[in-house]
Amino acid sequence: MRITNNTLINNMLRQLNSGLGRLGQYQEQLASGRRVLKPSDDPAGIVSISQLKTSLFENQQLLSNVDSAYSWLDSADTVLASVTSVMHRAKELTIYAATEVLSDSDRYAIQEEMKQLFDNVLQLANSTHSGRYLFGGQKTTTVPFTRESLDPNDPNFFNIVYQGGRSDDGTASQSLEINANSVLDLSLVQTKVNADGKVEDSLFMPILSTFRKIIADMEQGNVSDLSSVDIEQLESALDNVLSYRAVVGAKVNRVQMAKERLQELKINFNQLLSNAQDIDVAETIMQLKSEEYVYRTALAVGARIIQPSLVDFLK
Amino acid sequence: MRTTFSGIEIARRALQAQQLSLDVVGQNIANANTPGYSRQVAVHKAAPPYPMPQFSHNPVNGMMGTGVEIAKISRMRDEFVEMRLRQETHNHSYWQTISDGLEQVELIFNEPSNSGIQQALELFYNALQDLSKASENEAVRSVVIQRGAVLTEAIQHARFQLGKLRDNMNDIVSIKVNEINTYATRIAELNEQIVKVNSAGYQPNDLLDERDKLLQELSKLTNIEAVVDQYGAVTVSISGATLVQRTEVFKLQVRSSNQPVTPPYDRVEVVWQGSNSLVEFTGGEMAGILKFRDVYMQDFLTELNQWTADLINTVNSIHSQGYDLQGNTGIPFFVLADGSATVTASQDPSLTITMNIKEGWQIAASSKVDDDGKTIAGNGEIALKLAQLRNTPINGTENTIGGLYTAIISRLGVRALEGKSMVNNGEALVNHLKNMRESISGVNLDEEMADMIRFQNSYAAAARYMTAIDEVLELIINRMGLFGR
Repeated sequence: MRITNNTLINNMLRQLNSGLGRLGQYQEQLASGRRVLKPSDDPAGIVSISQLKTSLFENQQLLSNVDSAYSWLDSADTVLASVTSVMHRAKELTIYAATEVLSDSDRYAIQEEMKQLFDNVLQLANSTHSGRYLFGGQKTTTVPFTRESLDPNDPNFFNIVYQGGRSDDGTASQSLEINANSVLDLSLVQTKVNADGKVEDSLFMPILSTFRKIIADMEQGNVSDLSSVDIEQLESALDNVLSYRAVVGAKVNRVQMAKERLQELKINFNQLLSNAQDIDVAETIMQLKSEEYVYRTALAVGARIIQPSLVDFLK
Repeated sequence: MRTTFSGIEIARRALQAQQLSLDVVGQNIANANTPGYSRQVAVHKAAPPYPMPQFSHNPVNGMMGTGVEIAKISRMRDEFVEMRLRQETHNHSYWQTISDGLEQVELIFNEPSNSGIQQALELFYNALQDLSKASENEAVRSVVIQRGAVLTEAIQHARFQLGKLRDNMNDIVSIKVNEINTYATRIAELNEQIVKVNSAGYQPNDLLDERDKLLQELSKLTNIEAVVDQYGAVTVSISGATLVQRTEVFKLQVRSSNQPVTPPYDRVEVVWQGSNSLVEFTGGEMAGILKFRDVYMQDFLTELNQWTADLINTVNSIHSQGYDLQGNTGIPFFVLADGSATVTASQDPSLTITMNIKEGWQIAASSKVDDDGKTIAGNGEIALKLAQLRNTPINGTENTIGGLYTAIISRLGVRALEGKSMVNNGEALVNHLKNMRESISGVNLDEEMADMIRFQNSYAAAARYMTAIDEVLELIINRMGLFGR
C-alpha cells in the first residue's frame, strides 16, 4: 500500500480522536461514579437497575410505614397501660366501697373519685395519635366515644355511645402495608351489635359500663353487688385489656421483624444497585491510565512522523 | 542519414517534457491538501521514430528516435474504490443519522436519573402510601397532588419532546431535498463541461475530481448509482430512477403526505417532480431520517402513549371506585387537555395530560361511606390500592406499570446500542476505503520531491545536451572551411 502524508495525518487524527473519545468516556464515568448513564450503555442492565430503584423506593416507603406503625402501636400500648392502672385504682375503690362501715363523707369522696376515673377512661378511649383517634377505626375524624347526655345530673350522663368504625362493615380496621403487598391491621377496634341494636366496641365499652354500674351501686349503697358482681366484671374487663395489650405486643413484634427484614433488604438492594450501575473506581482508573498512556504515545508518535519530509533534507 | 539539426529538436522536446513534468509536480504539491484532488502523473513516451534514411533498405539498422513527448497527464483514480466508498458512505450516514436521533431520544427520556419518569412514578406511589396512612390529612393529600402533577409533567415533557423531534425531521427532509437538487444540478453542469473537453480530445482531470467529490457528497445524502457513459458524462440514479442524465436533472420535491399513520401528524414525503411518484431511499441521510421519523419515533410515541394510557386508565378506574371527602365517587385522576379521560396508543402527543384533581378533598382515597352517605375519612383503602399498583401486574400482562416503562427504556437502549455499533462498523469500513483511495489518489510529498529532483536533473542534462549540440554546430558552421584563410 502506498502511504501518503495525508494518510499518516488522517490516521493520526482519527486515532487521537478515538483515544480522546475513550478518555472522555472514562472521565464521565469517574466523575459521575456511574457505569450506566444512558440506556444504551447497558440495555439489559437498565432493567435490573430500574427494578432495584423501584424496590429501594418501596423499601424506603415501607420503612417509613413501619415506623408509623411502631409509633402508633406504642401510643396504643401507653393508653392501654394507663387504662390498666386506672382500673386497678377502680378495683381498690370498689373493694373499699363494699365495706359497710364507711361514713357518708367517705362514701361521697369514693364516688367522686370513681367518677373521675370514669372521665379518665373516657379521655383515654378518645386519645389521638398525630390527629387521628386511636380507637375509632377508620372514622379517624369522629370522636369515637361520647356521652349520651352532657348534663351531669341526667341519668344518661354515664351512658356512652360508640361512633367509631365498625367490624361488621369493615370500617374498624386500619390497613398499613409493611411488606410488599402484605398488610397489617393496626386497629385494635372490634365491635359487636348488642341486644338493643347499638354498636359497642369490646375494649372500652365493657370498662365504661362496669364503671357506670359501680358508680350507680355506690350511689345506692348496693354493697352486695359492689362486693361480688362488680368486682367480677371489673376483673374480666381487666383481663380483656390485658389480652388487648398482648395483641399490641404481637403486632409490635411483627412490625419489628418487618423492620429488620426491610433494613437488611435495603442494604442488599443498595449493594445490588451499586453493582449494576456504579463503576469499580480502581479498575476504571487503571483503564483511564492505560488509555492515557496510549493517547500520549499516539501524540508523541504523531508529532515525530508528521514533521519531517524529504524537503528537510534536500539542499 | 540524419539531419544536422535533429539533435536540437530532441533536446528541445526533452527540455519541454521535463519542464511539463515539473509543472505537474508543482500542481501535485500545490493540491496536496485539496479535498477530492487526485494525483496527476505526466506520462513520458518516446516520440515516434523514423526509419533511418539510407541508400539501401536494411532493417537491421533500426529506426531513429526523435526524443520524448508527454503522452498524457493521467489522473490516478480507482473507479472501483470510488464506487465501494460511495456504497459504504450510504450505509454509514444512514446509521449515523439514526444513531444521532436515538441519542436525542435517550436524552429526552433521561434515564437512569433522578429527574425521569421513573423517579416521578416512584415518588407518586410513595405519596399514595403516605395517603393510605393518613387519608384524612389535608397536607398529605396535597403532597399526592403535587407528586401527581410532577408525574404528568414528566410524561408530558417526554411526549412533547418526542413529538417535536419527529416534527423537526420534516424540516430536515426539506433541507436535504434542496441539497440533493443542488448537487444534482452542479453534476449536470460538470457533465456538460466534461463532455465538451473530452470531445476536444483533452482529459478534464480537475473537473473529474470536482464531479467525483460531488458524487461523494451526494452519496452521504442518499443512495446513488453512478455510471459514466462513453462521452464521459455520468448518469446518477436513486434506486433505479434517474436523477441526472448528462445535462438533464430530474428534481425531487417535498409534499405533504396523505397516508394515514399512527399516531397521526402532518408529515411530508419526497416525490419526483415530474412523475409525482415516491422516491425510494434505501441509504444515506435521507433514508435514515425517514426511517427514524416513520419507524423509530412513531414506535416510541406509540409505546409511550400506550404506557401513559395504561397508567391513566388504571389509576382512573381504581380512583373511581373510591369516595372523596365530600362523599362523591372519585372523578378521573388524570385527564387530557380536551377533557377526555381515556388515552389511546394513537393519541396526538401534543394533547397535554394534566391532573384533573385540583383540591385535596377531591382525592377519593376512601373506599367507604357511612349510612348517611358521608365518607369515612380515615379509610385509605383506595389510596393503598393505588400505591400497590407498584407491584400489581396490569391488563392481564405479567408487567407492572413501572415494568412496562422499563421495557420501553430497555428497547430504546438496545436500539441506540445497535445504532452505535453500526456506526462504528461503517466508520471502520469507510476509513479503510478512504485510506485505499488516499493510497491511490493521494499526494506523497516525498515522492513529489524525488520526482522533482529527477526532472530537475533530466532538465539540466537536456540543457547540457543542447549545449553540446550547439558546440558541435559551432564547430561546423564557424570553424569548418577556414583552413588556409
